Amino acid sequence: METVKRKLIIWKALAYASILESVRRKDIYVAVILCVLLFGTATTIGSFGVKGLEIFFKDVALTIIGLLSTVIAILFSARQIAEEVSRRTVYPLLARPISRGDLLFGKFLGAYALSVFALLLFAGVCALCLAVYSIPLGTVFLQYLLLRAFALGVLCALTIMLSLFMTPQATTTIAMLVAVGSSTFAGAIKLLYPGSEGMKQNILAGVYYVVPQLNLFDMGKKVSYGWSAVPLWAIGFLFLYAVMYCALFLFIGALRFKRQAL
Amino acid sequence: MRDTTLWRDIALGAGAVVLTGFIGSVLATRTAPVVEVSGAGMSPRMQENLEQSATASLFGQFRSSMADFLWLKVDKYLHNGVDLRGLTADEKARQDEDKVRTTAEDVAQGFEQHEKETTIIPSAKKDWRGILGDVERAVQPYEDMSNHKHRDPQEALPLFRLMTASNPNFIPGYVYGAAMIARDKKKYAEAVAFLKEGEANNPNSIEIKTEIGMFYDAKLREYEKAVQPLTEALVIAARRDPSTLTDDEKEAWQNAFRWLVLSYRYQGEREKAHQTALAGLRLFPNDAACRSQLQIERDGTWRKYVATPKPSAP
Repeated sequence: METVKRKLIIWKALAYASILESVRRKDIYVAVILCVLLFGTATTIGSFGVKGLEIFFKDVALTIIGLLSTVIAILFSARQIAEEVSRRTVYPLLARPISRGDLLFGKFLGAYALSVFALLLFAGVCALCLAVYSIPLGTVFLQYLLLRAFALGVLCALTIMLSLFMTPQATTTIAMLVAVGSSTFAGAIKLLYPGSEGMKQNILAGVYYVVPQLNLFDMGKKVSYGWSAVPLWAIGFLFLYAVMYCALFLFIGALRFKRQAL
Repeated sequence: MRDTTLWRDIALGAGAVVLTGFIGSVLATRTAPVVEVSGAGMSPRMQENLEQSATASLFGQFRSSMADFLWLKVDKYLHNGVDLRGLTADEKARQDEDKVRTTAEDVAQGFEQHEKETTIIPSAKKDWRGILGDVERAVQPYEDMSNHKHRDPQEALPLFRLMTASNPNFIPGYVYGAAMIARDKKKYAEAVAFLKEGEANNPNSIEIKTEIGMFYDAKLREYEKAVQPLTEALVIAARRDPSTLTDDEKEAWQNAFRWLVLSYRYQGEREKAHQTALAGLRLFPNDAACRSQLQIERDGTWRKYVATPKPSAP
């Protein structure tokens, strides 16, 4: 129990330090500037009239929320460890009684908290813009945000793990490809599977189950087209699915980090 | 020294996007007289300018992509967000795909029947992914589409407006947009006006001229007004190299013969109807409307098809 308490304090302190560092570096300004751009764009488009285009606008707004929050999460996460190493601030950190695994998890929590904050910021601005034009989002929007928050966890963990294997630029590129290409990738496997046989079919199924299906966390279309809320079992399953992938990626990352010469 | 390379790159990238947007808006304003067409359509000089202008070509590409994007959105819109896809060769051969069929009621209202499509998300019966498939069906728009109804197409009308505004050369936008407008019988005139806007922007479109003729013939029963656009459609089609015609243009060409035959028939212009039917059969030997014209002439019953003139307005 004592160990758990100690770990919690360490993780909280590391996450808080990551957030403070981000605020000090004015990183969050990027999110605010993007929000201002979003609002400006919405106002410009809205001036042409939105009557009859409610679904289209909701669709565009949710796509933008998804895209921007994904980009921010990847950029925040990609440089968490890499910068500590390149600036050599990792040494005083590790000189304290914290393990490399603790450092990794603390950094993950910091990046995740910032990503969720950015998501809520974008979602707030978009919801406000849509409310100005009397376009309701419905309660299913809250489920959308919840699933997006789960997806951001997986993305942050994946990006932090990748950042321990490659350069920040390569990490950003690969993580973006996984995030944006997830839907296309899943669609391609769904299409190829019935037409293939034997080993080929097993490989396709294996790849589908191993790669995180981030498209499952995107409820944007359900919100746009006004569908009813998703059953709780699906939300619960996706929570476990996200936790499983976060744990897996952080575990692989921790293994790598422990063996890495700094 | 802090490593700010990544953020500098982001700032540079964002700056480049904003700058491109700004320059783009300036260039768009300058090229507007070249890209946009007047109410009377593009003159040959304007067409030439358009073909030679690099900026117009660049913006034309953007406009085309935007219109294509909106076109796909309309399909999704009508299906309540449920994604459909074409059948693969294997699926066509096996014929065991998840069926997508429109209700008889919707087909009667002019919606197309989907015989070569299926849902992107497979049904539970055909899905190999277990619980991941169940979750996808729960979180994405999905329903059994084997006997589905469509959303009210009136709600999709602004998308047609948006797609033709973004790309005035997007002909399907005008043709299908007009059909959607005309689902409200009180709005036939509005549908024709929409098509005429399309005609002005695309003076050489066989499809739009044929559609205008069809509206005058079949919807407004103003047969004499149908003659000009249909004749123009036939002239444009005849001047084109047949091998360059798209399937839609070929269909519109054949339809132009049909509607022109009917237009002459209902006006009592037997000889013109006869000549048009013969010309149509030379190109489309199996055309039912052209054949029926010759048949009713042989039967001597053509007079009973002549429409009673509309009473003139007081």
